[in-house]
Amino acid sequence: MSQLGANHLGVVVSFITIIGWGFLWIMLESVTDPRVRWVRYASFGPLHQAYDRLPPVWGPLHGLLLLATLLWLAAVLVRSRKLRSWLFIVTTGCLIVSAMASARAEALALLRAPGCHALGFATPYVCTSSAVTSFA
Amino acid sequence: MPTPVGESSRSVIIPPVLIEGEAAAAPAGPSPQVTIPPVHIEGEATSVQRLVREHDAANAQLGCAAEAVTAAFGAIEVAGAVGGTVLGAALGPMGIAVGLAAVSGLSYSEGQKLRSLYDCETK
Repeated sequence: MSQLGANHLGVVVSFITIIGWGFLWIMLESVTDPRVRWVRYASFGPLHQAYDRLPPVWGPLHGLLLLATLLWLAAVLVRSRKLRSWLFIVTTGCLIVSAMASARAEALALLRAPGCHALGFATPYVCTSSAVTSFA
Repeated sequence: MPTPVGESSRSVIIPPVLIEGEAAAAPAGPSPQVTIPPVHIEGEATSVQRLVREHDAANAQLGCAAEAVTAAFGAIEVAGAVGGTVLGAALGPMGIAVGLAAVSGLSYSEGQKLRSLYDCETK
């Protein structure tokens, strides 16, 4: 699989995760089981995925992810069910916008510099000579 | 008693070293020589090898700590998604479908994290 194909697959998986968790967050509000609280605590997967896909250069996306993290934290800790639903909806919106912007930045980086691709925040760029042929 | 690494008791004679550029200016005549008495280093070669192996293993473990932590967080995420799916099953097929979507997405990224951890440990 080419780097561009792997990037597209990663983007699709990110969107499935974010939208899946967004619906799950809202739907679980109808469940009265007290164990839902623990599921909410462990529901930071979309945030972690968004963090992994952040561009290496500091910018508005980092602020957006910080906002989404604070909203998620507030939603997990708040007691009001109605407020929690809205907080989860806004968190999902922030994560979708962040994922779209990150995917666009990654695709642009791939297309502008064949042979180089952005990996994420910790390892900004990787350039390989074999990747050049995958774009041909 | 461990076998000494080097048993030779000969002295080592180091020839004089001339810095480039000083060779022409050096006075002609007998050049000074430095004599170093023999040095014995004793120890068990096996323990040295063991220390080197332990040092390498410690470095390798430190190098993979970030990958291990990321994979552990990923496992918590997958566990949360599975728990959400189980609890969401009470809401009907829609709850199961949404839960499975979340589980599949997180499982994919967890697989990537485990792969990077495996690559790091086998490097």
